[in-house]
Amino acid sequence: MSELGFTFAVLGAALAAILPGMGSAEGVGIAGQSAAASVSEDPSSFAKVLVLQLLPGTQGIYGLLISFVTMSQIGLLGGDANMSLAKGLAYLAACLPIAIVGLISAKHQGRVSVSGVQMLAKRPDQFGKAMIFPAMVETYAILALLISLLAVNGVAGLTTI
Amino acid sequence: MAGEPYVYAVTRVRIHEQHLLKHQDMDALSAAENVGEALNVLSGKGWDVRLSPADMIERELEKTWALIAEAAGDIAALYVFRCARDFHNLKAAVKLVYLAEPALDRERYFLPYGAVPVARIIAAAENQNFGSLPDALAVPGKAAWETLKATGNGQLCEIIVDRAALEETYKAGEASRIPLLQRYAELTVDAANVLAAMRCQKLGRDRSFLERVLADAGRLSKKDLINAALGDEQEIPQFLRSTPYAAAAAALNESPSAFERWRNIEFMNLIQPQRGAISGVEPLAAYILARENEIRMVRLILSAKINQLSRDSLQERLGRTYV
Repeated sequence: MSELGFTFAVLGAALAAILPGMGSAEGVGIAGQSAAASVSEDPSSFAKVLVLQLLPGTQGIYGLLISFVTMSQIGLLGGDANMSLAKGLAYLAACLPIAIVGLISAKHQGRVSVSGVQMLAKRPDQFGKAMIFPAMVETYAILALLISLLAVNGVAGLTTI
Repeated sequence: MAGEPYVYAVTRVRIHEQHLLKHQDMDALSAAENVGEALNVLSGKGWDVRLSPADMIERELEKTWALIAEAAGDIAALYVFRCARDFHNLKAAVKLVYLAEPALDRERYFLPYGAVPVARIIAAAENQNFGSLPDALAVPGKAAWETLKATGNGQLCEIIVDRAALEETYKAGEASRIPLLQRYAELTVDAANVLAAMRCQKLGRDRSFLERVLADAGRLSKKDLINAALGDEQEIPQFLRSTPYAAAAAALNESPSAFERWRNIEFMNLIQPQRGAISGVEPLAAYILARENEIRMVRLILSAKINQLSRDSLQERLGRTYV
C-alpha cells in the first residue's frame, strides 16, 4: 500500500475539476461579454444568447462529475483510501482526458459561441445554426468525458495492481 | 481581456454594421432624381435628414466615434485615427485665435474623440504656449502660429500642420504593430503625398515648396516623388509604376478623383478580412473606415445632386462599400 498512490489519485481528481473549470470560466466569460453586447443593443435577444453563453460551461460540469466519481472510488469521501502507486497513477491517467480536452475545448467553444452571438446579431432568425457550431466542439468534450468515466470505473475494478 | 480583447465592442459593432449602407443603397442614392429623393433614401436608413446635409454628415461621424468610445472604453489603440483629429483641432485653434473668432462660435470647428482634449489645444493656442501640448503637436503648432502671424497666409499654416499630421499618422501606425493599422497609415500617407505632388505639379511649384509640403514618411521615396513632380505630367504615374503602387498609376493617369477612388477601394480591400473576426482592435478600425467611406460617398452623392452633376461623373468618384 502506498500513500503516494493515493496522492496521485487525488491529484487526478483535482485536475479533472480544475482544468475544465478554468477553460469553462474563460469560455463562458468571453461568450458572456459578447452576449452582454448583444443584449445592450437588443434586449429581446437575451434568451438566445444566454444559451450560447452557457454552452462552454459544460466542460466544467463534466470535470466535476469525473472528479466526484474518482473521489468516491478512491475512498476520499469515505471508505478505504489505501491503494498501490500503480493504481494511483492509473487514476491520474484516467482523469487526464477530461482535464486536458475539457480545458482546451471550453476555450475554443467560447470563441465559437462568440461567433454565434455575432452571427445572431446579423441574422436573428438563424439561432439553430448558431447553436450547432459551438455544439460541434462539445463532441470532443463528451468523448473525453466518456473515456475518463470508463477509465476511472475500469481502474476501480482492477485487482491486479 | 488579454486573450480576446474588445469582444464586447466588436459584437456591438457587428450589430451596427447591419445599418451600414450597402451597394444597392448607394445605387439607389445615385439614381435619385434630386437631393430630396436622396434624403428620403437616407431617412429610411436612419439618418437624421431633419438636419442640414453638412450637420447630418457631421452627426453620423460623431455617432461612429461615440459608439466606439462607449463600447471599447479604452480607445488608445485607435490613436492612428484619433491623431488626425488632434491636428485638425490644432489647425482650427491656431486660425481661430489668429482671427479672434468669438468664443461662442468655436465649438463647431472642433472634432471630439481626439487624443488631446480640445480645451487644452485651444488654451495652448490662446496663450501661444504650445509647449504644453505633446511634442507631436507642439512643434507644428508653434511653427504654424509663427508662420500665420508673420505672413497671414492660412494655406502655409495648413501645410505645416497637415504634413505633421501625416508624419504622426505614419508613426502611430508603425508603433501600433498591428498590420492593418500599419497598412492604413502607409496608404494614407503615400496617397496624400502623391496627391499633393500632383497638385504642386499642376500649379508649377518649385522643389523647395514640394520639400515643405510632402511628408517625410511612408513607403515612397520623397526625393524620387519630388523629382517626378518637377517633370511633366506623365512622370508621377511613371514613378508609381516602379513602386508597390503600380496598380494606382492607371487611376492617377485618369484623374486625381480616380486615384482617390482607387485609394478608398484599397481601404475597403484592406478591411474585408475583418468581417469574420470576433475580437481585437482591427474590426473596430474596420468599422471606422467603413463608416468614413460610407459618409464620404454620401457626401459626394448629395453634393452631386445639389450641383446637378451627371451620374457618370459621380460614378468616377464613388468607390465600393464594406458590406
